Amino acid sequence: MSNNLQNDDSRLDLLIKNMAQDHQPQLPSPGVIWWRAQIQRKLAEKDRVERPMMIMRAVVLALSAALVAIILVVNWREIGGMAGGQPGPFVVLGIFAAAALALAGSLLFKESMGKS
Amino acid sequence: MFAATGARIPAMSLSKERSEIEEYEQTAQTEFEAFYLRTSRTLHGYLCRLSRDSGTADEVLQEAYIRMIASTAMEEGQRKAYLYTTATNILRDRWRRQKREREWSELGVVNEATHQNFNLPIDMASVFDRLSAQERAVLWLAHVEELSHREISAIVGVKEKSVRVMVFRAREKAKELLQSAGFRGTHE
Repeated sequence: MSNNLQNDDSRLDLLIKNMAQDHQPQLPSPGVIWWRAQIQRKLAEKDRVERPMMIMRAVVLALSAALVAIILVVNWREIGGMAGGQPGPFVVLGIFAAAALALAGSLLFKESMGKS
Repeated sequence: MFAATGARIPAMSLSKERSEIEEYEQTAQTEFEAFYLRTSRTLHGYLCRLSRDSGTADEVLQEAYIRMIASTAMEEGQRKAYLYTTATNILRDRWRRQKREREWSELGVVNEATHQNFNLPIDMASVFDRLSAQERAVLWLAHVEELSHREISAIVGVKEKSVRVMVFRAREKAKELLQSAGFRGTHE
């Protein structure tokens, strides 16, 4: 009885091994995989090197936005007068700065999204 | 070896340093190629049996080797276990994404309709197709790779004791399927 079971097990083992032996797929060459791995490694390294610059850009953008906000607050009276008369030079400058910051921010966001 | 990252080269002239790095990378690549040629065929077979799709097996195989190259250097013995664990996890993640996780966790997914159709020609590959993903994985790892229960448990992510039971049940089911089809073996 146990001998039969042993025979069954060894036969099953043989059948599975033969099935594995019969599997002869067309595989990519190891050189291709190595090359792909190197490209991925270089991209990861590039990202690692560029990350501090990305952070610095974001910090500069935040500081610039704060500066624009301060300019707008300081010249709030002039902004209030915009509705009635001519806008003051600081207001025009502030609007341009805000537009430039919005553009820079969107570009930065787009770049960081592209990387992730 | 063959993790061609983070090589620590002592301070030297630039050209000498460069040639040292190139030599290191060359050795790593040669080692990888030898390892790949030794293991890729059976890993592909494992992935084919597990995923039932050679296209998926191709993709997962490449991804697993790429992750292995990017990982830290390891001993020869650990590489194979790392490779199988990584490949199994990649495949499982894909299933999870495809909401096919159920197939992995269910043990008894033999399709009774096919099971009962004894007129169909049956071989070991079709017996494998009638087993659950977990059963296919443990049978392959135990019989083809001849891994220990502990190694299999690390790869499939279950307890060692459960692996013992799973292998036993998978064997019994495979034998039952073969016997019920009146199979005498094609390779005898």
